[in-house]
Amino acid sequence: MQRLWLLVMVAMVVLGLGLSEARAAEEIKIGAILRLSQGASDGLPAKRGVEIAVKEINAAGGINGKQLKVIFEDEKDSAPASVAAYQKLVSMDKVKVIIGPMMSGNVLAVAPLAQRDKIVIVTPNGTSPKISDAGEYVYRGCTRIDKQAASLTKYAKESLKTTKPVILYSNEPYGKGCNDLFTKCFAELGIPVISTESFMVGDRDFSAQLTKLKQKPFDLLFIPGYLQETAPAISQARRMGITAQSMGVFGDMAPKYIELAGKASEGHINCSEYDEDYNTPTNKKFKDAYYKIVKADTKEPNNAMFAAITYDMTRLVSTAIATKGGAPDQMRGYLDTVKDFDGVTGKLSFDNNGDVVKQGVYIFKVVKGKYVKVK
Amino acid sequence: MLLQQLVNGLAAGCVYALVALGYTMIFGILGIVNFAQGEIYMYGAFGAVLTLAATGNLVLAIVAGIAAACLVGVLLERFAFRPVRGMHPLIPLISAIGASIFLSSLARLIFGPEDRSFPMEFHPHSYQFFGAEITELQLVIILVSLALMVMLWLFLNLTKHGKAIMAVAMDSDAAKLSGINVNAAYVTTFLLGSAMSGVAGILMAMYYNATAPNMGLLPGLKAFSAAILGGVGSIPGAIIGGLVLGVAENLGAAYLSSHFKDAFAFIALVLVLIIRPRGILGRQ
Repeated sequence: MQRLWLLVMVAMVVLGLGLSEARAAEEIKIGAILRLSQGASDGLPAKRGVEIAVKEINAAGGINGKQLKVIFEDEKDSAPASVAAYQKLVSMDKVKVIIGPMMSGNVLAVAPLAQRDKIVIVTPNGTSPKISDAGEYVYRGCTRIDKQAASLTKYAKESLKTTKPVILYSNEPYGKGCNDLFTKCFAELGIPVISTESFMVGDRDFSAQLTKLKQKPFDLLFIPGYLQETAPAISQARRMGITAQSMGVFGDMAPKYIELAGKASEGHINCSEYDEDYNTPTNKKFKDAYYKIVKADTKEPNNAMFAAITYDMTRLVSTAIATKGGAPDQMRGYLDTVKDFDGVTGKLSFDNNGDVVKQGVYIFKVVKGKYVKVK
Repeated sequence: MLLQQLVNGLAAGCVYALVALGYTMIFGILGIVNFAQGEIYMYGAFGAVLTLAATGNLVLAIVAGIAAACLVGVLLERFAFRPVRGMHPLIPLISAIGASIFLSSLARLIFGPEDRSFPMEFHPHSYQFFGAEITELQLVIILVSLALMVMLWLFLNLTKHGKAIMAVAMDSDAAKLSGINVNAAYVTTFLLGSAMSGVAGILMAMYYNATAPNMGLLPGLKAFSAAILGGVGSIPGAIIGGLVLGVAENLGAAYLSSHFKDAFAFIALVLVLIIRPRGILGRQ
């Protein structure tokens, strides 16, 4: 009798395994490495972007009849954690394509492995110029920081008539890179940066730096960094009586920035990858879906730009799998040749380095607590 | 500019001092370093910000913030420290670090990852004196901190409960023998230390207009340094340590380079410890 039970159980387990195998075969798995704990205010919107895309694709019948499934891993704002997440996705989940990581340093850590294993990785917002040369399996969904710098500094010169800029940057790879690049771009336009100060990630007190900057008159305060620091920095600057025009990078493009900086955000200039009023049916559908999620939960961070980029990248990847097949080289065959893909961040193509090509960088200005496109 | 930087340093230093008081009191009485002090500070800030957003009543919000900080402090004492009391000193240390990670992750789950603004705008009014400017908020921070420090000193030296705490800090066995409720003294210490950190958290939530689950990390480290700088266990030491640290990093940033602002705080710490290993006012 006992033996019979054993037999029945073994049979059930085998059957069960077989069934789950069969179910797995009807799925296409892709990976995502996003900032889900540290920096989750950027990473969660990015995750929502992926989820909205997946939901739409699956509702429309999936990819050639197979359901798309995304396995999310946490980037933890660290290169070793990103590499570990990559290895888990590739060796255990056997994914062939990964959306992420989000930060440049982590992309550069993962890229050599992706290149070796021939796995496609698509970073939504790593802006470092070095990513262009990181390998042919590495793609990116946003504009390189040097192109953002070129258009912002040009705007500063031509429209803001800036002659005496100062820079207050975040002392980590991103902010430091911005400082170097913008100093160079301003110099090329014949505008010398008159003084430079920096702050640490996590700092909330900028009075020492601002007091020092106030010693020499300036007409543009450029603060590259993450909004958790840049917003309190500008509000402190205004409280200390600094009236110069303020300018920031694309991380400042978030309702949170205006909320944290309050009235101090008025007149602030920053670039962005996404224009909410981009008038296409795809964008309208995306916006409705995204704001439904944001409104449903008060804790949900609101940043349509980060969601928009991953939404586009997920759709690009799934179209690549649908039209050319799920092997990395087949996907590359699609991504390298795609022309004017109907994305919400613009009409998308990729250049020879795997960098996205679109209409250029938008520039926004805060007017009465709202972002208004000025270019 | 010197005077201006001194004012800036003093405002930052007062907050370090408040949190450092928590470290130093708990160390003085229990001989352990409570690495979760920065998290208590953060819960204080969240308590106030959420209550203010819900009710619009500033007084109620401040009370709620302090209450939240005290609650976290008492729970910490009960669940993270009491079970490991008397064990090898490394064990409460690990327990404290674990509690710190747990508390900040919990905050991220409950409150969400985003920075929150303070739901009330303050007038950017400022006073001029000798060419320096002090904003109303800076003035409030300095005055409130100093008042709290004086009150703490009075409590410890003039009241029965305060004297009981001092006695336990000197020798807990002897205190027990003379009929002092040692457990009650521990809880009171945690309550006081947490309340100070909670007030510091609320003041900073107002001043920087940003409250986030990871806001306690850096002030926690700096306040810990301030406590060591002043001499761990010494209450006036923690106050002096906090002020010295705040002023040192602001002057360093002003006259040397702001790229190393945080480093100056720790350089000051190292220098003091080389010259005077037990801290400015530390006991032998």
